[in-house]
Amino acid sequence: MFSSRALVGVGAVLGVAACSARPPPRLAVELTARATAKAGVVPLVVSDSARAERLRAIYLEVVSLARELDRARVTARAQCHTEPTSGAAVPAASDPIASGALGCSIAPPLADRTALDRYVQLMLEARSLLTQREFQKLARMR
Amino acid sequence: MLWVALATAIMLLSGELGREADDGATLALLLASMRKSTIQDVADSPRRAAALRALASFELGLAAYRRQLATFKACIAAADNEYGATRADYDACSQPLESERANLRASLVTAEQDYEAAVTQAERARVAQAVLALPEARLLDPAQASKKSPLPSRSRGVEGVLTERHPTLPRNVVAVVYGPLSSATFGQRFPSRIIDGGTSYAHQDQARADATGTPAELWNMRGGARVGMFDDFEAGALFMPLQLAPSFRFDPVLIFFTQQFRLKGVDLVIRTSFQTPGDTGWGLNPGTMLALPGRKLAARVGFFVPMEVGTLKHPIAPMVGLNAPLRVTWNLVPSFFLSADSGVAYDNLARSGALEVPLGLGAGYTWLTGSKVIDFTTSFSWDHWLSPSPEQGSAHLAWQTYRIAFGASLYFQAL
Repeated sequence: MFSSRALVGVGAVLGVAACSARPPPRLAVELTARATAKAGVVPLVVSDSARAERLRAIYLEVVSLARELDRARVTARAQCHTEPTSGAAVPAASDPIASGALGCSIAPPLADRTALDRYVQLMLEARSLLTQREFQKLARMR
Repeated sequence: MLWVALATAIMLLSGELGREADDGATLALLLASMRKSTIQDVADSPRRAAALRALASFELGLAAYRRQLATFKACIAAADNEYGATRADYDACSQPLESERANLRASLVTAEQDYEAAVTQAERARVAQAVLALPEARLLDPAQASKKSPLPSRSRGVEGVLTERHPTLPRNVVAVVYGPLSSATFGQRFPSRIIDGGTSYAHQDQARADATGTPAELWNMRGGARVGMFDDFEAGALFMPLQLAPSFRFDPVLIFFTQQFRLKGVDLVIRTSFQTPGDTGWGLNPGTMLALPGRKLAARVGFFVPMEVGTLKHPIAPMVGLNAPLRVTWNLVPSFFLSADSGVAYDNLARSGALEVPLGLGAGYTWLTGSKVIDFTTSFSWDHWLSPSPEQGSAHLAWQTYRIAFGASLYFQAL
């Protein structure tokens, strides 16, 4: 009796989880997921060890770039408190409305240009190391 | 679907989904709190209506920001999956974002000014207090900038080359186990049976069969699943344990929980396994393991204390053993590996002279198909190969008692 109730409970939790909408992940999380999905299987796709090694290094660098992107995003928000938007008053930082922080937090300035540029550079280098067939095999991972 | 639901449920319960999410949901919560507090704290009706109109502009701004981000991420993802993509394709993703973001910020400044004009200083302080009391308000805290990124410390992709794999699966990676040489069945040697995945045929000489009261020839099929529940914790079970011959029956189910600590170049593992009651009752197999992953060569050594302890209804004198397995694996090429197993095992400490040295050889091929990795594996082992100090007679080798196993295990990312 108890075990059947427990099974129903577990089933219900799983059902709710399966049907619940997943909040959209951050850009850094998406880039990391795509890169790490490929990093582990590169040697199974690329037979040349030198190319495989460099590709793996590229995908791992994407992971650290994603961290930088996250840091840049948080820093941009933090700067909302120290550099209020033009036209806003400059009262106490503990007032999220009057300090102009909320508007700035909703749409922080794009401060992650360098990391994004490096990301593009790495993705283009990865293409130069891969044949189209290898690229497509890796792209299927995620 | 089951694995997606399980992975989502674990991510949801552990708060990981929230940590991975973009800030849109948090900002929406803060705005909702501002709206609620404005309705409560701004008494004058026309000023309240003006403040709420300003808040509606914030909400529209947030929706626009989330749309911009979603479009940008989809654009980058599309470029990432296109072999012919150039820098111009990536630039095309970010260029509209810059101008859109500037426009959005300008409209938010206006909304902010409208809100400030609508509420008094005291009302604004009360609203701010309500918003800052929420745990989500830490998003507005500048101290967050100095904190470490919450991105995971371990790669969550499927691990390909066998020698490079860690003992536990990465988070959200699932393995359908139906083959020998799996990490989960390493060291699963109980006093009365040895458990491995896949189809296996065990043969023993008649003298041993008579002494142990077990069949001279035994066919088994064992399959199950492992799931990386957290970055270094996995759980799993061989829940399809069948004995095919000499008679068909269900064997006990093996369940295991493994925690891994990734140190520099070495993984320290603690694993607890147990078997549901069989002929000898409950089986337990706690132990620890050291794993040294490498590009071409990997080694694993474990120390386990397997025991069979009967049940409350059918008590037996507990049988306790010791098992220290050793496995060395060599990837000749990234997709093909050979392995050698040995170690020492003392299946029942109550019996004297039961020390044994097993010997085993294995081979496997790793195949990447679509987004899944499949290991085809086979092993040949002499589980009771050398008895260095038997109770009767002198040290001897048992070539006639062997086990052959084969099968395949599938690995994929559930989320």
